[in-house]
Amino acid sequence: MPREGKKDVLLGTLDLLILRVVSSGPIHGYAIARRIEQISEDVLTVQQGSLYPALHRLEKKAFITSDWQTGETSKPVKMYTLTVDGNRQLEEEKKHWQDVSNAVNLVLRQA
Amino acid sequence: METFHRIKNWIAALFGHLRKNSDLEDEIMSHIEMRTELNIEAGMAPDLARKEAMRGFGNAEALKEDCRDSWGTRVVMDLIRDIGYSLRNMRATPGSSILVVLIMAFGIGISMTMFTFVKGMLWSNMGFPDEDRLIDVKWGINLKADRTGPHPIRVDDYLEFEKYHRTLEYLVGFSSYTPGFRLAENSDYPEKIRGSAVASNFFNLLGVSALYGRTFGPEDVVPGGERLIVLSYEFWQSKFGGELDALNATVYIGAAPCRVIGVMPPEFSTFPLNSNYWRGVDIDTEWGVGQPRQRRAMLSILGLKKEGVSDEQVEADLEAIAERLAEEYPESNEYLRDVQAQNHGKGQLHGEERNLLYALLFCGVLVLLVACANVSNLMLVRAARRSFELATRNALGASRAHIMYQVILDSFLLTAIGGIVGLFVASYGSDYIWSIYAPLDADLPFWWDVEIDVATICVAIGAMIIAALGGSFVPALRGARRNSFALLRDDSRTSSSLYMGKLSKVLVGLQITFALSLTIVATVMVLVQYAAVSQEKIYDRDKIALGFLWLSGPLYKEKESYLSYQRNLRERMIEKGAENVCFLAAGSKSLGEVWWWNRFEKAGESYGDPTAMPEASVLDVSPEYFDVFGFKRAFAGRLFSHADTEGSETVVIVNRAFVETHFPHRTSPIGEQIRVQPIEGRESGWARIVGIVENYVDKPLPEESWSDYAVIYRPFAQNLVPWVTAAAKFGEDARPWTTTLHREMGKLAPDNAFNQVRSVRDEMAFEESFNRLIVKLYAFFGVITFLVASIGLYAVVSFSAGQRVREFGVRMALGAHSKDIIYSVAKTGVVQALAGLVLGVLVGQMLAQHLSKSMNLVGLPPVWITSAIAVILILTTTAISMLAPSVKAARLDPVKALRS
Amino acid sequence: MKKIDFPQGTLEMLTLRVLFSGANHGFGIAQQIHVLSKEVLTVEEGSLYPALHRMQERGWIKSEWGRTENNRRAKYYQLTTIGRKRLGTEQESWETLATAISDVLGSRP
Repeated sequence: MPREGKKDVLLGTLDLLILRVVSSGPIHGYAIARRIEQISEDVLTVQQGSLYPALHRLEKKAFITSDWQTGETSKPVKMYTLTVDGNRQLEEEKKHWQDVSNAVNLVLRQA
Repeated sequence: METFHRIKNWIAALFGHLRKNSDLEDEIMSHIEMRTELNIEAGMAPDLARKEAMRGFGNAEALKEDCRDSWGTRVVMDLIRDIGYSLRNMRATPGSSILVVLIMAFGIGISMTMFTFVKGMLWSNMGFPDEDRLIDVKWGINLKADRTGPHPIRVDDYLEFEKYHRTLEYLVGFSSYTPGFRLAENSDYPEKIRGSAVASNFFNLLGVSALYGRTFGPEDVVPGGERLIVLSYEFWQSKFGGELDALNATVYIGAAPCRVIGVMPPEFSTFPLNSNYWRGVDIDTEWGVGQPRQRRAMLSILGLKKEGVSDEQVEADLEAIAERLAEEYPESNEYLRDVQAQNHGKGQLHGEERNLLYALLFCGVLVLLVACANVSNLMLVRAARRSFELATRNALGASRAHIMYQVILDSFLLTAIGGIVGLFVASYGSDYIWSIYAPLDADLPFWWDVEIDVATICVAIGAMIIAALGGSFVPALRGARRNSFALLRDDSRTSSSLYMGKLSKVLVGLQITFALSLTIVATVMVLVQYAAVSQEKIYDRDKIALGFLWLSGPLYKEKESYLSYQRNLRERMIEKGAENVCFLAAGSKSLGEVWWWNRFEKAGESYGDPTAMPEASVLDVSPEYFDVFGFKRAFAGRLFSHADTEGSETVVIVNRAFVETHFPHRTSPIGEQIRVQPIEGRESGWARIVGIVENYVDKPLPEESWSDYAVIYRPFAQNLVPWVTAAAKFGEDARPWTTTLHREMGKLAPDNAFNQVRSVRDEMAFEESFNRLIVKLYAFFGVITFLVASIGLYAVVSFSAGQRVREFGVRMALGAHSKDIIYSVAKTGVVQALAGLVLGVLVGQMLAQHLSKSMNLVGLPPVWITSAIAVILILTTTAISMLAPSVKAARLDPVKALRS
Repeated sequence: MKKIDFPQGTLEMLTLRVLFSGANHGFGIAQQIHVLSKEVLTVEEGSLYPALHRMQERGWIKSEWGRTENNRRAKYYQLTTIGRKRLGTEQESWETLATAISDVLGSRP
């Protein structure tokens, strides 16, 4: 199990992961974090301290929008949705990540 | 593993920091070169190539910092840099820096001296593993209340204790004595060497074995057997040259042959109290055989408690035995039921002496406080002087914490330097004091030692830290204040608000308090000395020589021989030129004055128990006593004559104080009968009062009354004992005659070595050495503290006045007179100074009272005198130190002042 | 091209990997990474040198002054035993992380 890796990597790619999760449909903050953890089988954990600033940042750049909705528990909850710009950004970042990870692997294999 | 590498790199980094710096520079240069090359190959113009290469590094400094950070030595380098800065700052302000260092050195030096001195006596351990189980055993009628002190323990009582005790592992009787010691049978003058005769199980007490040879045990010590002795290490070195042939050698102690069988290791030293050797005795068969119970030799008892037993349990155990003895032997043991068991190591100091030492310690703390208050004030001054610089730093963004840190570091450095100097002072000081005091006390416990050890250094460091913090914390806070703008604008048109604020005035007040208390104590001490010294005695201290000896050996087996000794000695001394010679039955400590403080009965009165009987001093004297010691004649009745012997009527003479106290309504108690209670088991019968003499002092000391000076004189011939003090009177200073007296005494008693012969004055000096030393110490420290406080005050007020020069210039230009200026300066801090004064008087008086009780000082001058003197002293010096700068300020040329 | 934002710790791993193939100086390491990644990855000097010194402090690499082919003085770094072990661990971490991120990115809605 990686010891130091988790948080560090996340800082660089958190935006990307959030956009991806939100792209699947309206979802609230806490669920975003849980979903990332779920899919990665707990390899990637999101700290609350990083999640909400990131959401705020993305919303400012208009990649996501938020809406207060009444969830199942009938308590108002903030739901996030991907915008068109956000979708475009998502594809860019995805490609970006692809390029980087490929490049890294290149170095790893050829060096 | 990784940690190991980190540490290794860290240490290497510490040493190679500078090297690493230039190394990094080189590395960066090399990288730039390579990149430039690459750019040129790619087609760039050379200077562009270089520029591009350097751009890659961007902010080079930041990069270097980052690298350095990873080296982990940042903290230490920063500290070194800060220290360097502090040192430069010190060089820039030499005056106040030196002052702070000196004051700290003084404060720490003195307080550490006190501490070392006190620690050496109060808290030194003997150095033996079971020493907390080692006890002294004493008994008496009522030990706490009795002025007469513990009663002697005699052989028969000791034997009972030894047989029936249950709470001790070992009970050992011993007696210290100082007989003549000779290496060979016929060598001439025996030397007076102190040793101990001990019960055969003595060496079980501490379980220490001999270094060479062996110790003796119960099997070795048999009645009529060989006399065996063991030597102490020091004695073996000094007398026997450390030669192994000392073992099995025969020496002569008090003319009897003894065989040396062993040498003890150095750590056993001269246990229990300055014994150079130990002789095993079978106490039952060797001591005082045939003597009645109440006269059968005296000894001391040491015990080793069983594990887990308390002192009280031992006391109860032995008291049960004492009770039984009191019932079985009423004539000798009737009232002896109170037993005291006390740890041997701790029991060397009485409660009074302990209190005295604690008071000394407290004074040491006071001195340190004075130094701290002083330094604190000076630090305020220093911080104030740096106010501009500090404000600039603050404005430029230095954090508050950093500025505080700078000021505190400053203070710590100065304190550290002062403290180290102070420790040296303490080391020399305590050694010096000890070298004066130690030789004076023959009974000095061997484990008392004055030394600077780890504990002392830790305490000193603690004191330094407290002093440094105390001296700098508030100035640091002040220096780091936020309103730096105000300070930056401050150009002393208005008085500096950083200084002579409330805090500084309070510090002034505190300084005065501490200094004043010490001064009062010092004043009291000095006055007491004066009072004691000026008490008039009716005899002349300088013209009487005293020699003390204990007649023993084959020549002096019969009591009549004591009288012939006295007769012979007197004849020979008068032949040599003495005016008269008399004898007293007393130790050398009597000085011809009071010795035994004893109870007595008056005929025709009955008393419930011994503690109800009246008390007076008892002195056994030869008929010449009254002449030698200055009694001119009898007021009533007669003096003693040689006709008063054992065969004739038992008589006594009393003095006027005695008459006033015990027969107040009789003009003359001549003819009355009194009986003195047994002194050390020696009974006396009813005696008739045949004469009244004057008192031996002209007036009692203020704390005492005449009843303390009541004396019963008895004829020596009617109370013969082998120990005797010879007092010879001369027509001139007795000092040159002491050798003669010594020699004549020796000639007549060849097997007896004895104490130094001294004049009465010298003997008194010897007696009071401890007290005098303490008094001198207090006086000395009081004076110095006082001076230091004054200097501090002066510095502080000076600065304040200096700050306000411009203000004075303005005022004077506006028409103020010089006395207005003086008044203005002088009145700063007056309230606090007054408060300090009052507090100082209170504290000083309390301390002085406490001290006088502990030291049993008499002749205490009344409160108002000491306070008045001390207050006047303080006021004078305070006035000078406060006025001098203000006068200087007032003399300024207003124009110059405005321009400065 | 767009500046690449390296995930933390990746730089160290890549440096170790490059040094695994042979000792090299700082400039050379940056070059290697740049070239091998087909110029996708550019290493900033401002990140590289602090990283190199950090790794040296921890004992992952050690250094020595030497000469390049052009006879220029340069400080050469090489892997230590610890460094070699470290490379393995770092690479493992990277794999796990990269896989995890890919999972999230490629997962079904």
